[in-house]
Amino acid sequence: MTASVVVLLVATIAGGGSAALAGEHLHGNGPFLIAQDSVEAARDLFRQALQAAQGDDFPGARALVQQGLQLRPRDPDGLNLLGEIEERLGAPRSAIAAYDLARIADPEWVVPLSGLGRVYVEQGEFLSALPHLRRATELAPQDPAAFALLGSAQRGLGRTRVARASFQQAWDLAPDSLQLGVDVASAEFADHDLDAAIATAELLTEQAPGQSVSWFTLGNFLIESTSVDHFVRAPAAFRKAIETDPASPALWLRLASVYSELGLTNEREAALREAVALGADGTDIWLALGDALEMQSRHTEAIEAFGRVIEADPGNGRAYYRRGQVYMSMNNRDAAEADVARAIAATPEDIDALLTMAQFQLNGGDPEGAEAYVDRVYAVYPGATEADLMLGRIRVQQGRTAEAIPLLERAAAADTDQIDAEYLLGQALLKEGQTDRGRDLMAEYQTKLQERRDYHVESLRLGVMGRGRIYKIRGRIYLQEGRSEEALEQLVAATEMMPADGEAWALLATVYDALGRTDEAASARATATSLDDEGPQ
Amino acid sequence: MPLYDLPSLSRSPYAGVVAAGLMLGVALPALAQSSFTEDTEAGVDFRHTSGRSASKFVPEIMGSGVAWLDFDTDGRWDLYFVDGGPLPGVSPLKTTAAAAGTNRVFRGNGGRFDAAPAAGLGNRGYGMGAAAADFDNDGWIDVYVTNFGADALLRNNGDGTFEDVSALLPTRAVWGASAAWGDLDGDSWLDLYVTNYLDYVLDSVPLCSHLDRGIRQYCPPQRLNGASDHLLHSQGGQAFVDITITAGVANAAQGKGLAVVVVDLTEDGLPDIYVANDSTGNFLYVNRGDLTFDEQGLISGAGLNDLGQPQSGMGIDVGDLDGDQAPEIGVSNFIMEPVNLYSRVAPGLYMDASFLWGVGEPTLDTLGFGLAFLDVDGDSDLEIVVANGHILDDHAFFEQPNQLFHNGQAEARASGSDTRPTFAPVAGGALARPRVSRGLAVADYNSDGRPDLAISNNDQPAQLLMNTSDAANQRLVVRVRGTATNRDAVGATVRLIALDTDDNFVRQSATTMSGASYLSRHSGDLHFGLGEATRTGIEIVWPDGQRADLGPVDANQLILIRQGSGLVATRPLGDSR
Repeated sequence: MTASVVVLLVATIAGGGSAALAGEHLHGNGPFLIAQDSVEAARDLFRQALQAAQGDDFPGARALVQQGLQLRPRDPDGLNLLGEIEERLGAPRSAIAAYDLARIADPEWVVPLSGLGRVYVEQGEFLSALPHLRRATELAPQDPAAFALLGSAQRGLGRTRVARASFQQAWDLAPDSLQLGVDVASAEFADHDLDAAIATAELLTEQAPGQSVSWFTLGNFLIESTSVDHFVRAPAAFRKAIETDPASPALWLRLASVYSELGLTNEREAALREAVALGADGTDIWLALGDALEMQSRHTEAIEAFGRVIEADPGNGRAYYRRGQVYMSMNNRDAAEADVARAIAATPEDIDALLTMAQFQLNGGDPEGAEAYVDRVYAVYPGATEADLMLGRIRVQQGRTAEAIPLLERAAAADTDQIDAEYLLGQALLKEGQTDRGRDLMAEYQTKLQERRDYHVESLRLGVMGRGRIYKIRGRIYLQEGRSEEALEQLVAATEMMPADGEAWALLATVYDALGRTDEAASARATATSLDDEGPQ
Repeated sequence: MPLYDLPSLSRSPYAGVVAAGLMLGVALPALAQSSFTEDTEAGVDFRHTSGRSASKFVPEIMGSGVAWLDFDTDGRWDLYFVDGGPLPGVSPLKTTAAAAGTNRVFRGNGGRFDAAPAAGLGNRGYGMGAAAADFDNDGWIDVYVTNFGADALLRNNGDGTFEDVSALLPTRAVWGASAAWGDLDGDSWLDLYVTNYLDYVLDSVPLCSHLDRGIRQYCPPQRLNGASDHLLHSQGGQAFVDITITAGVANAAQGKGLAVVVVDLTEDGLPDIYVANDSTGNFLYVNRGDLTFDEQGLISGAGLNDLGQPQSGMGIDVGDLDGDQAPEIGVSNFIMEPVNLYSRVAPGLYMDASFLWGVGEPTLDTLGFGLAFLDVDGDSDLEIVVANGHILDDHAFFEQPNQLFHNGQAEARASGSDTRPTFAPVAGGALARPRVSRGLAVADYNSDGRPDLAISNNDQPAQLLMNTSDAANQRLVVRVRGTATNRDAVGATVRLIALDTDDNFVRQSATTMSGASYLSRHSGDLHFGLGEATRTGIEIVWPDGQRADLGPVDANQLILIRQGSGLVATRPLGDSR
């Protein structure tokens, strides 16, 4: 091919995925001799197409570039340009075809290879993307976009280790790219290296402290950690993100979900309300708010929240069901039953609601009424062992113990945690005279009940001691967020409940320092020191 | 064995006559809302003191019991109220009277009561309950008082005074709750079962708090260790031996006992022990006959609720609720837990029928303590009374109405329809005025044949509720006295046999029991409603297995049956006020 140098500037076209690079393309003539004026005419059309594309007239641009390709069908620049235009027009298959032809026309050119890789990745066809992207990185080892795309393809195939390496290479080539930093951190997380992900995210917050995405990324990884030292910092990270982007309801919603994970229900509620104040709406948000209120035993407000969902979406069966549960907590069983009935009317296949209604009927001394609802569960889910259990209970109440036995056997076999089925089965067997088997089951049940009871008691013990621990954690969270007054309240409670916990006293000292209460800080610090000197209790 | 006559009763003309069938009427009156009227003129002015403090110690919320007993054997029921008072070394939130914490006696006097000195009964421990019985068979009723702290055994000297004979006790409970007497080995001496609630020492209670609200709260029982109950075997009424371990009832691990009853629940003629535990499942100790017991609460079906979960057992009563001559067991529980009604399916096997019979749902809203089965309206089947009240003084429903459930079985039987028991709540009336109720005990204090109620309320005045249900129905009150067996005849079963208008036999059965309710003691008389029947046949099975057929007996009497002698005295029923 006769080398013919044509300089074609390809403008960066803003949009998703890696940006096309401004650059110079050298190519020789193809295997066919082309008349010089055809070349110029085609080039001219390509330039016009580029201008049209820059003016967002992509249909016009396509027409122009297609005209040019009629003059020079194998022009790699034109084919590549067509690929980019088709991509912008949302025609991935056409884009792929164009890029592929460009690749064939000039196999050493990295741009169509990247284009192919990009489109295949966006379509989720990671395996198809791989060879092109590998070739691209070979041809352009200094091209961060190619490595980033390669990493995306590898990640899509679950090859987390190599994906991580590819993203790292991309970032090494473009260390100022925040997006690539996020990609690296995400790849490290996907590769089960949370510590590295957190470290990378921290680096991003140092490099781009004014960018919400860096703090957001850090927060996401911190909350994934099981280490107290990490997860107590998560809310503070999200608050930083919010500081840099205060108009984003999505950030408040994310913060709310983080508080939910941390068990700070009141904070969750507050964050949800901030999101609502910023315009976030939608039934999911009000459902979450209702849940948060109910967990704080603020039943009336929870009722209102679920009521809003119902008002906005009268067919929202889940809202009726949740409101019904709140009414149950308030001992208002009439209202509870009415709402569960509405939940069923709205969502006739809601098994939870159907079984709850069956329970209402059974509690009201109407086993036949209960059975009607159980039949409806079976109609939705023929093998539902929850329905087997309920029907088994109904049969026991009706004195039809023999019929209850196979139902309870199925329920007990299906879920080893469903020990109430085992209890009922054992009782039914005893009452039907199957004494040996009944006694054996009761003995097993006794053991499981004891294990469950021991676990519950231990949890309670840990809870009460652990409640000291929870107060301490909450104190640390508030400290990280710079909320000293709230931190003080929590840490005072923590030291009261765990007077031998030196760390709690040390944290308390820190809070007092932050509040300028130096004498109390000194006293708390002295206590912490003396406990440390005594060694572990 | 000496004979113990009640001098105010005359001899029955029907002694020795074989029982004959009698008519039972129809068109029984429905239970009216005004079934109970508070008798504020009777002279009972007891007010309980809990010594509630900022430290929120659990004993402060438990309340105390009330016992009916005839301590001076004048034939009239006296009242004994147990009081709490300030806990030792603890400053209460409210100033308490000097007498707070002293148990009080009110002597019955023809439907009225006089505050009686009853020297020796004013036990000043932090009182929980009282279990009265003639443990030494001398004809004078004695009292066992449970305390937070050491319990006390008070022996009746027969002269209006009581002597503290706690030295006879080999073991003293650390936190006694309910206690029950019973002759467990048939030697005619009453043995004693004492429930111990929790292993709880004021100086070392854990800190319990509400996480979200950040306030101190009362520790739940799950957070605390239980304490083993005690079983004391009587040595001829002169001493006791602790047989807790050898008997197989040592239960510290799971024992958080609040109520107990001693009665034959396996229908083998031997008295068993049923204990209601708080949050750990109830015990049914089946008597093997050799002073050893086999715990079968779980297997019996009367240990847990119908989902196999333990509940917060507070009070117990036992009685034939469905007319099959076999006992049902009732247990009152916490809020959002129904009152259990364990219906007997086979000897020693029970099924919780509380929802099926209509009691489950209405009792989910209330926190029940005292419990009693009694025929309020005299129509021959048993009603249920529950004494309710929350434990948290900052709860919206701290004061709660007590509940009365009417048994519709008699009406159903009369109309020929399904005779499965159905209980309907009876709304309103003095019983339903919201209180913080705890102990509940039944006796006919005005001798009109209608069982009345005494209720002890936590930090509130006690209530005396007179049964003012329609007096049209006929009644019979049976009092039994043992000679070859324990004098109180605890464990004697009385059966009535009558005919209804359709010539069907209508049978009723009742057993003299000790224990029952919550921290309290019913009078021990057996109250039977006869509807419109004016006579009934009677059979009695004594604790030692001796049987006697008596009757026919006229209705509207209090009758005294003595072992070996039959019907020895009667007294017509009538308002003695």
